[in-house]
Amino acid sequence: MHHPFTLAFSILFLFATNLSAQYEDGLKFGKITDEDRQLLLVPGDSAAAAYVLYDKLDLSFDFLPDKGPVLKESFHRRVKLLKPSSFDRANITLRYDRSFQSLGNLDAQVHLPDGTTIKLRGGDFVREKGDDRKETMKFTFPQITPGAVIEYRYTLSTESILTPTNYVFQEDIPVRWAEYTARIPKYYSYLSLGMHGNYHIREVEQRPLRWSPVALRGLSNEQMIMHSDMRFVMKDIVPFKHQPYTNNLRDYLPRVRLQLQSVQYPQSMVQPVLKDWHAVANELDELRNFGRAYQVKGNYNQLWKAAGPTVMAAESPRERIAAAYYFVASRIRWDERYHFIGSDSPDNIFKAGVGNSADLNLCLLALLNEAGIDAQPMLVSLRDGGVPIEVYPLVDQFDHLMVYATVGEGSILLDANGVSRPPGLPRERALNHRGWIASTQNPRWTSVEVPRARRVMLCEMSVDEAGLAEVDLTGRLESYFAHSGRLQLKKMKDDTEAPIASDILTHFPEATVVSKEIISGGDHSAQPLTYKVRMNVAAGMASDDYLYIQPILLPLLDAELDDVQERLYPIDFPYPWREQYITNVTVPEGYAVEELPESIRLRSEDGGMEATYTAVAKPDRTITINFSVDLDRTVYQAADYATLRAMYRRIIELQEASIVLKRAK
Amino acid sequence: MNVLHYLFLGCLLFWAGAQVQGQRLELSALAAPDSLRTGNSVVLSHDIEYRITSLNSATYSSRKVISLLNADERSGNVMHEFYDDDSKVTTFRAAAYDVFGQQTYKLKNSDISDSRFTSQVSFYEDTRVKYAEIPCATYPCTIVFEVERKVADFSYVAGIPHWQPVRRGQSLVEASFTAYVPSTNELLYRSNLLADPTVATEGDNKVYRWTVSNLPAQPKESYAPAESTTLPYLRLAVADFEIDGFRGSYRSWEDFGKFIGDIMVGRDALPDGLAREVHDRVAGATTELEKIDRLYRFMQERMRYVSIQLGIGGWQPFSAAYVEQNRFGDCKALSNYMGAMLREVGITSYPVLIEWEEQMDYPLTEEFTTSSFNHMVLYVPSQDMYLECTSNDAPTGYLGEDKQDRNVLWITPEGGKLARTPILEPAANGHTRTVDLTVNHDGWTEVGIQATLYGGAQEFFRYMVAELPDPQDQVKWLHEQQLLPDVSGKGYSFVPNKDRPEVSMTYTTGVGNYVRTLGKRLFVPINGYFPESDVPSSDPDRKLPIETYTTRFLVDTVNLHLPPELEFESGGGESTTEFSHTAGEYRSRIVPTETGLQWIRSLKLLPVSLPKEAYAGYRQFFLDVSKAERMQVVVREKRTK
Repeated sequence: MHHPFTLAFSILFLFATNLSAQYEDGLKFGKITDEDRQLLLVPGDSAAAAYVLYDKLDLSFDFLPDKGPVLKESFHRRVKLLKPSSFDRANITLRYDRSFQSLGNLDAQVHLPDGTTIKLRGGDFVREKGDDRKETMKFTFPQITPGAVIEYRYTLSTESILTPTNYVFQEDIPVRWAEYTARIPKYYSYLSLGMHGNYHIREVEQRPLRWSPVALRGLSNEQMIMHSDMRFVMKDIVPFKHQPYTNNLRDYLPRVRLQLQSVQYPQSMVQPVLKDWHAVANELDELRNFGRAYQVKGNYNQLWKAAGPTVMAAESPRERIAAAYYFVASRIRWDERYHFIGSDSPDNIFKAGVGNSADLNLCLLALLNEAGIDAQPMLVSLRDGGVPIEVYPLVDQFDHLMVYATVGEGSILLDANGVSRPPGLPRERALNHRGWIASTQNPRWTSVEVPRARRVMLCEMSVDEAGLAEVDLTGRLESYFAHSGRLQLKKMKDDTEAPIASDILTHFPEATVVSKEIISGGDHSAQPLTYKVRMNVAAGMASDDYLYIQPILLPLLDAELDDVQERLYPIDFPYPWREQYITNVTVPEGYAVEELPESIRLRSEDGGMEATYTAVAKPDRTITINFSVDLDRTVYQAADYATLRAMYRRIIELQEASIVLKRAK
Repeated sequence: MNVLHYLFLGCLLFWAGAQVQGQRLELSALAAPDSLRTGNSVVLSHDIEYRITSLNSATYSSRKVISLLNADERSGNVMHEFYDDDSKVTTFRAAAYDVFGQQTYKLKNSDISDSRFTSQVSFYEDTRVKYAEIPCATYPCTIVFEVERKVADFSYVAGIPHWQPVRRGQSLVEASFTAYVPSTNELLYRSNLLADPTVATEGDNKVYRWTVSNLPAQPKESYAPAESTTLPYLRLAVADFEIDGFRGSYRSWEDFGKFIGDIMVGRDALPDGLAREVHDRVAGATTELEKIDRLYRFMQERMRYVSIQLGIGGWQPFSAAYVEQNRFGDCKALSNYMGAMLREVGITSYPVLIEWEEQMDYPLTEEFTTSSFNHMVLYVPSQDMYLECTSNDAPTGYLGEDKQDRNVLWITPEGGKLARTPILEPAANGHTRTVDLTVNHDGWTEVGIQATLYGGAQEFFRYMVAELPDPQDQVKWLHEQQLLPDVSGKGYSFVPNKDRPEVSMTYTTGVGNYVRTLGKRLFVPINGYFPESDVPSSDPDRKLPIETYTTRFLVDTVNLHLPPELEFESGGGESTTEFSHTAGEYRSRIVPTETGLQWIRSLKLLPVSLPKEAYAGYRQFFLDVSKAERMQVVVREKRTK
């Protein structure tokens, strides 16, 4: 009976393609054609600094009596170095975790354009033991010159068959041939989490092959068992490009990503590895550094003893949440490592005063749990950590743990790390749109929603005949804008580095700060930050009878969306925001308005972005400008880029628009 | 404040007092007087003992007690000690204390990481590092660090400790440095802002002791001189030493240079094949300069820079034969290789030890011999020429601005000789650039840019061209750096001159966002793409002198062309703007032309060394420059008369 290999996409069929390229029958290590030695240009890409002639990852399995199934991943890579800028690619560093991985069968050689080949010897390979379990193997190739071809191969053995190496076909340099092969015994059923790509060869077939380890499972001798043989090849692949405002780039590149789903040995029941989200939640709940960390009081007794009086002194659930949050945020330092599982019990973390991102939030969960607040762990992948996969219960997609607390009908996200960021505002890197709530009762995915960042500026500006303006500016900042404003207040050394003032000084360096004042929210991160600054700014330019005044002193947008000719990937902002700038300009006596910017309303077709600008001259020598920009939607498809960029450009024009006054005769 | 608050505060102070009495006051931030609890941390004490035990060995021990006043002193809780085959860390202890002197943490072996260390510039190094972070639950937090290292050979000589008891942003209560030196040897030293040491004799040792106390924190300020010149600092050397059987001395530059020469002896033998190739390369060359140029190019073509620090660490190069075999090497290996090739054709050259930083950590003087180098280049005396041997694209004889105008050590056959690298001339380090702006009546602007960059101003762009060979990538990068208006132009070129430190560029495009339109008016910046607008931050309470190194001469020309239907409403008339300061000279001139105007500006920037009182004037110069650079003209449709 055949146990078909499980694939998520429609690649269960055998694709027999017309084999034509030179590597279709494989590439022998060390054997290189004269043409490849002499090659000095990449076909179709004369500017390329290097060229991957061949790259292959072969996945197979072994079974060791004392260790069980082992992944054998054989890498073989051949790269042509064309320009000196690529020569650092001849310095190779291979990293692995020696606690469950080993590296062997390492061979390396360099083929030179003059026809010689130099093999690296034992002393050329340097093994470096890092801290903990990390190890690196380093080597570099001799005689590198334009046209040199470096080639190396090695086998990585891994005593965990859960997640084979992700194989990405596309690189930052052109690739002639990239191949992924796998031979997987029928005992192991893998799920494919991404095999998109324009494949030259795409084969999956079942074939009976010998596999001796069955003998170790109680059968009498070797026998033929079915294997899934996979072969995926892409050829002549152009390099990928980095583009600004891209999130989760790897998800857009062609790759093979496998995940063990289940194991079934002969005469055994299926052992599901990937179960369902309920099962995952239950397993996590039993872990010492996850569920038990915040549910077993013995693990957080000392922490509660220290924090409990403060937390329980608060009356409402929201106040208790805030008290617990600020206790953890102020007493435990983040060690700048992300994880979705803690490293120790909350008591030990509290004692050490430092922990990973999960440690801090598990401490918080423990306090909330003890204080009677309904709170659950929420697991997320970080921005650039990959688009969340909700269909399959994959735990290793997560990078970070936050807290999802329910208060009445609503909820609040908590992500403790320093007191300057309030409850409800996770760190920006955690805003990867979706998160999974690890509740044993009701595990579920939900949107990672955060309050819109807002900045409202009220500006009173009195301009003299020379164009010098006395400016009185009050800003009210909320959400992430308030957070960054408070950080700025904390770090500033003098008034010129204060919020608002420093932004104005960037554009008007000769401006001077007369005074600054925190109206409210300076020392409490849960409140909006209201801030006032008085400055003298040369906001106008006087010339003959004219006075040109720039009424918007603070840019609402810093820069145009970066200019690319062709947008390849979606544009992804971390959070929505709104900026509003209202200014009353008092013009000097004896001047009249000659020209004002036109009032206008801009709106993207889907309403995701909107800007309004109005300019009104009043009889009392004042001009009022009201300018606002809203970004509601945070993700835009690549096709929307032109529209969005045009909006950005128009908004920047508006914020730089001048008022023209003329001396009355 | 109400009565309850006072009562609470009183109780707290009483309780705190009781705690301190029961604890160890010297391990609390409270041990520092109020006047010193400034900045982010206070060094309560830092005592170092340095015992030289022979010509090639020593023991270093340190006990430092530091109070971190807040979490901003980010590395204040970190300890790390490097070691290698020549050295051993024999003590590595730390503990943390709260404000009452109560111990909150003691470093355990399991909290210490011990791993191979490879610096960012190296690929291999045989250095290891012990590292630990000491947790502080609350602030102030006092940490005691205790370290002992036994060093020998290279680790001893290259690692002679130089004492800087306090850094900027830290206050200091007290610190001491005690050196035990065998009477058969001699301790050499220079100090800054330290009293003379007490000197005593203990058995066979001379004992030198320096102390310093009660220093308020010196602020961290931009454009400040090196810390070694504004804070207490002790620079040490020993008269005699030995590494792996090589005897050396720091008694004079000549002696130290001789030692470096000794450890390089025999490393410059050329393999026969290479010797033949060297002669082939220079065959037909008519001048010595041509021979040097050919061999330098030869080396650039076949070598690549890889930093591998093995053996006698940073000082002894790999042999020319090793470099030839592998076609790679670090700065010493490549300089030695180049020198060997020159020697083969009868040209004398000297290896040169140099510090490659814009600001030298410890400026060298003739009077005191010390090793404060991080790089090696080559000097050809007959041509008065330096060769930077790690670059694959530098013109022959180009040293680089961050290596100029400083004392360096020539390793001559007679020993070391302190010499000065060439000063930076403004005219050799800058650019000439012409921007043509042709504005249409609707604001659309055709832009043409031509520029040539020289010397220090071209270095990074030459590197950029080499690292990003694809012109599309270059355009993208230059646009991201705001050095090109967009990515969709044409006629782009960025070409380094092979023989001179010059890079030339061209670019043309059309843009809709250069000019701001308002009804019938157009607001046109004159130098909108390349304004020199960096202004030092305001600092009315400046504490430190000003020291800068930038040398530039920047000439920009903008030709603004308008269509016949537009005329100037403001600006556009003939005018001149001039101002100057020790830091530079600015001159711009507008001349009306048939189609618009021409603006020519020259800006000379000079290095300065000024007292703190000059800061406001220094800043004002750059404010004036920035303002002048942001000039714009206003044009509008011609009015009928």
